Amino acid sequence: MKKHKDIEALLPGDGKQNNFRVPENYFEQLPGKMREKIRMPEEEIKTIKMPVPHRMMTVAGVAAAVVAFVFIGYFFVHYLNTTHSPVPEGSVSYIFSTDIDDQTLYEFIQQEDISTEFSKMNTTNVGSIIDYLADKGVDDYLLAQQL
Amino acid sequence: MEEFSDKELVSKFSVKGEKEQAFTRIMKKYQEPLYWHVRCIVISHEDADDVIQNTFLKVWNNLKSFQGDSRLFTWLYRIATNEALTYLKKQRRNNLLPWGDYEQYLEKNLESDVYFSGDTIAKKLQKAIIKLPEKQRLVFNMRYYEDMKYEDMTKVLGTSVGALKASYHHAVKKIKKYLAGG
Repeated sequence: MKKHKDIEALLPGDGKQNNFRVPENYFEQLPGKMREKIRMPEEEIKTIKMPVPHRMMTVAGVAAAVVAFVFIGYFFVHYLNTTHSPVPEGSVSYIFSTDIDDQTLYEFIQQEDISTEFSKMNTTNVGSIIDYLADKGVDDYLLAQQL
Repeated sequence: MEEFSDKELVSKFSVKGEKEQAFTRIMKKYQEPLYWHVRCIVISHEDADDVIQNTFLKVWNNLKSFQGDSRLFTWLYRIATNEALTYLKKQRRNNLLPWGDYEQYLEKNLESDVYFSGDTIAKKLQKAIIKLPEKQRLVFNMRYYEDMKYEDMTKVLGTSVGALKASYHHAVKKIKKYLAGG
């Protein structure tokens, strides 16, 4: 066929031909085999179908596993929440637990009254800024609000 | 044997006393094209035999609900394709193969299939087809071996004509590359 010429050119002989075979008289016997199958009661055809009590046991097992998973998850989360008390919002440690970059902190300092004095330090290093703020007794809640 | 149209066969199927005869006629009419379609997907005769029997069992159980919105031929092909792909998925699970990877299983089937009479190059073509992604493999087989129209393929595979043409084009390119690759 013209549309398959490109592939057939790479194949010797007839190119496109069916190389699969079936056992002798397969197609003659298939309808008879199927007739036998459809006359069978449904239970015999579906041999792998589990009996109802077995199926119920399986469903109950899965349900129990899901419930256990939810409980374990709940207690795990609860444990994390109680053993690691959250950092109070507004504290200096809270501010530094939020990954504030040096530049943002520096810009905040520039807006405050202390900026003139601070600029003398000529630094944007977080450690230096913190030391400076601690020395000056800056209200950490105010700092957190601004950031 | 008297020839009936698909529509007549479907309506006879719902008539008490004619159901089995109508079903046998449908089987005789479509068993060969459906078998070859399935065989190209699952490769081995034993697997194709299982799939084709499951397919006709589904047809027996569901033909009464066939609405006639589509042609019987495309409806049957859709069932056969789904059955073949489901069968491969089961085999993948049973053989602990990675998700979506039927290649090893199909290559093993091809090598051990006593009902494959092809020479080395025919086997190489089959291996090239096996290596294609699922959709491309289906499209290539339906177009190359079964000469199915793209319009019919859209009803079987539920993909647009454009996407099918693209799949066929990619499949041909990959096969040519594989065959020319020595």
